[in-house]
Amino acid sequence: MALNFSSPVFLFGLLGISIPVLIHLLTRRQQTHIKFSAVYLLMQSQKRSIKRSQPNKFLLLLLRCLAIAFLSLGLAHPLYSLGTSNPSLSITPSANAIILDDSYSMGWKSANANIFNNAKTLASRTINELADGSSVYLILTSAPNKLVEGSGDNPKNLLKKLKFTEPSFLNADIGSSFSTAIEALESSKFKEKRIYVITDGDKNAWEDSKFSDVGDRLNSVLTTVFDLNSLRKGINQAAINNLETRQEYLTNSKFVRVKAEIANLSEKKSVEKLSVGLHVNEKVISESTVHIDSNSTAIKEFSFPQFGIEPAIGFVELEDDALTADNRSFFAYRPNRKIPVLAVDGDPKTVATQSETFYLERALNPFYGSHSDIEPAVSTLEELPSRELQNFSVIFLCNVRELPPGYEYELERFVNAGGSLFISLGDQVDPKFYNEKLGNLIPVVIQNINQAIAPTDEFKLSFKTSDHPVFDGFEEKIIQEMETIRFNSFFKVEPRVDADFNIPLRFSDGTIAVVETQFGKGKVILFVSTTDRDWNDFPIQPTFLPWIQRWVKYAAHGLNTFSQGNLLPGAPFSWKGNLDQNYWIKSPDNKTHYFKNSENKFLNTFRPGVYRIFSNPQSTDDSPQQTSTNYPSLPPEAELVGTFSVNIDSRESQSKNITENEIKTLLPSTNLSLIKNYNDLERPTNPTATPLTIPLLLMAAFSLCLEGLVIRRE
Amino acid sequence: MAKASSSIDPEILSKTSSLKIRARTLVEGFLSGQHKSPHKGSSVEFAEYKTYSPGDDIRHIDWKAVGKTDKYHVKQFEQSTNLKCTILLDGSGSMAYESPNKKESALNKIEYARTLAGALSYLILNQFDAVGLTTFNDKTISHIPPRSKPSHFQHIIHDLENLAPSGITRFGEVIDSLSERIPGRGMAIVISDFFARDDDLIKSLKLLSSRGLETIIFHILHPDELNLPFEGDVVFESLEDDLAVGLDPYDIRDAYQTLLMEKIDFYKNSFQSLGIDYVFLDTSQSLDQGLNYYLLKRKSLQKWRS
Repeated sequence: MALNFSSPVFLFGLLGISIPVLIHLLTRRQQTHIKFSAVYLLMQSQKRSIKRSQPNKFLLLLLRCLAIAFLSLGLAHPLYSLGTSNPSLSITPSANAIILDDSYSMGWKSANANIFNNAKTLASRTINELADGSSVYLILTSAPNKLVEGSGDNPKNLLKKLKFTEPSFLNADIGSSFSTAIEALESSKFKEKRIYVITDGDKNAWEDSKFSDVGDRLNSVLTTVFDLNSLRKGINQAAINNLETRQEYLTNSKFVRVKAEIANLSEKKSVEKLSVGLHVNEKVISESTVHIDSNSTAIKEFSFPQFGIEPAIGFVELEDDALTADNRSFFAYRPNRKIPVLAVDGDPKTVATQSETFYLERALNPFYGSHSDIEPAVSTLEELPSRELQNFSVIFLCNVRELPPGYEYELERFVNAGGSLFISLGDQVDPKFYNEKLGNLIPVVIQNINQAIAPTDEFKLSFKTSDHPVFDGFEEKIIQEMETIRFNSFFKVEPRVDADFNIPLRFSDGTIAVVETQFGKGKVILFVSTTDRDWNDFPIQPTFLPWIQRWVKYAAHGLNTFSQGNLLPGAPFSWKGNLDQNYWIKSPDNKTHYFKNSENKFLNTFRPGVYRIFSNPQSTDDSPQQTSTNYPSLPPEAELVGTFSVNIDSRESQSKNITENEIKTLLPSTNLSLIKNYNDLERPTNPTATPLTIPLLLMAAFSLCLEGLVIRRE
Repeated sequence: MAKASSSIDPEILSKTSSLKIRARTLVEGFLSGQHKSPHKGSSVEFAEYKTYSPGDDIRHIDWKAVGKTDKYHVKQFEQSTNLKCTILLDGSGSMAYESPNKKESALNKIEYARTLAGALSYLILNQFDAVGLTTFNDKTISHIPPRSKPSHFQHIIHDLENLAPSGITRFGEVIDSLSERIPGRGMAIVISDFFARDDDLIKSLKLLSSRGLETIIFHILHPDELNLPFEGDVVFESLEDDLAVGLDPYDIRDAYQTLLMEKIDFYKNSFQSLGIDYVFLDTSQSLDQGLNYYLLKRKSLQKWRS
């Protein structure tokens, strides 16, 4: 015998009973007591009198309270059954696993806000209806750690957890959930084992490969699958499949372009005038409509100007439909900061094109305007002492013979404080000076010039072993182009003993082309050839410009744009920043996570949105402890160094319902009962259970009518 | 007389604490300029002879006449004209009603009744008639037989002052028992609010009048009992043995007043048919109306006698 409520939230309506009681108490008049002589006459008069300004207040109060109680109980959809309401439930204690689909597609609208709420109600009911002493394991299909904490012998605890569970932004993986469920059930002492799957029946969640080791282990397990697909209300007309942001490279445009690929999820019906909006930095920038034919995609491009150095954080949003999770796609675009660069020309010539820094300067700022992110300044060796080094982020020493006396210490101080030094060699360079005076900065010993005698002996760069972040953004085609660049001369270098450095780039014969080392907070990069055309034809190649610019950005710690990648929820984020540096990541729900770069991966990316990466250049020692409830606070001096966005995988948006046969194929050996078209949660699974909604609502109406009659009569 | 009576205002009377003084003030004010009683000094006078029959008092046999006529004759005397009046005062709980409105000018019902009884006693004694007092509720509380001594007034006043209204009203038994004690051919004055569910009242009074008693009924009610001037939710607690009842007086006022008037009319008609004088008084009315009634009655009695 059981009384269950399909919508127990309406039971809060019972609190409404207090309203008539309160009104009754507040309007109650003060009673006076009078000793009177002819009370029996008063009684006789009362019987005679038809007038009654105070109708039977208690009767009215009772009727009003009853009406509210009946209404609340009626709306809570009570189901009364003599036995347990689920035929698949037994009366003896058993081990039960409930696989609850919490993928984002469960957020599909239904009569009960969304299907997930229906699923939770069903799961709660199932837990409540289990025989006393049963153990219950709750498995969420999309969580990485699928078994909900608290599963086991305490169903009450689990019910509490269930109450606060919300659909995730991930896709469901029912196969793995089955594995988890079986593992949990195998550890249970009960012989009788059951698995309940509560899902929206989305086919994407039932991936064949994940069921490979499930089938045989389900022999003695009763499996019930509840397919809530039929509870869906409305259609999910469109979803954003992909979003790209880019800024026109090599143009003086400051416009950021956002390209959204929008899919019409209907196979038959085209979408007319679907409104699409671009929101940047919490402002609506643009709104328009698109037309998408059935079962196809449309590209919608937006552009907006971004002049500052602050990152543009925003999203493209489609108009509301039945599934809102896939209507929004986030992006973050961080324009490059201005990087002041000082190029020291060691071989100035009266003909500008013959100067050592001619190509370098143009590569750094191709338009002589303020549009470039890099602001180069050229200096001769003589002018160098008069320059304030701290005004620059990167200093290029291009084919400099030797520095003014004692200037090497200036450079060491500059690099140690966070500046970067890029040294390119050439015919003017005196290896002896470099090896003796700049030994602290350069981790290699510069030896002799390696020169190709015949054009066929010319040296080529090799990117095969290179995984340096500078080259991450280069397409394969550019890499191939760079591998064709001819070098006829370069300085051969040998590593110093105990020196700590890495080699981002080598020549095809394995000799070192670029050396990079960390000195203090700054970097020193040594390019063993020239930045003019004396020893190679690199400066006149189109690839020289991005190559040198990326080195500058990398050296100036400005190479953060690679982080504008688009991750899927739950995908690990890796960061190739400074390994020693501490980072903080601010997630879209405004929680700050501490991220030690040596761990290399940030895993807490379950929520779609833009994540901001902060670093604290002042200190590298902070290592706040993060617990599940205590989030570290962002240090006030922390600087925004990067962003990345997380967007849902829209696979589940296009819903194809799994059929009974398909489930049977995946779970061949189980004793399966599929409750498909489970479209009426109010109706009990057991036909003997009686819904009491209509009788209760009728009783509420009757109480109100009676109340009206009493008032009218009085 | 009316002019004189108008000066005796119950409000002024209520300020006088002593019942004795109050009764005297009332009567003396009322009687100023009245003639003295016509029955003063009257003694036993011969009326006629009657043939002796067994059972007659042999003391009254006129032996002279026996000697002359050889027949036994009994001398009959005219009865004394002195009136023997018994005042029956209701001492039940309902008489104790006091208005919750402290500013109410009317006298309490019991005070009014006491004053009326006291004043009547004084008046009667002043006229050398005999007066007695019986207080009762469902039974007789106290009984003072009629006497004409002036000092008798003290006894009556004492009893009146000590009367604490309580219990329920039941006329039947009380009047039945009293009718035996009260000498015949006198006067009975009943002072009550008649809040009794006693159906024997009329029957009992019939008995009284059949015994040749002249009966005057003073029906006394407080204005509150007539008008039911209360407001709001009121719980009426009975001064007798009824259950308390909570109601809004507004709802039942009309019905109550109708019921009460029906009751008063019923008494009036019933008593008139029995030849009983019925005087309705509410406690805001002047007390001399009661005294007036008594005197008129006394006068008519006199006429009837002569």
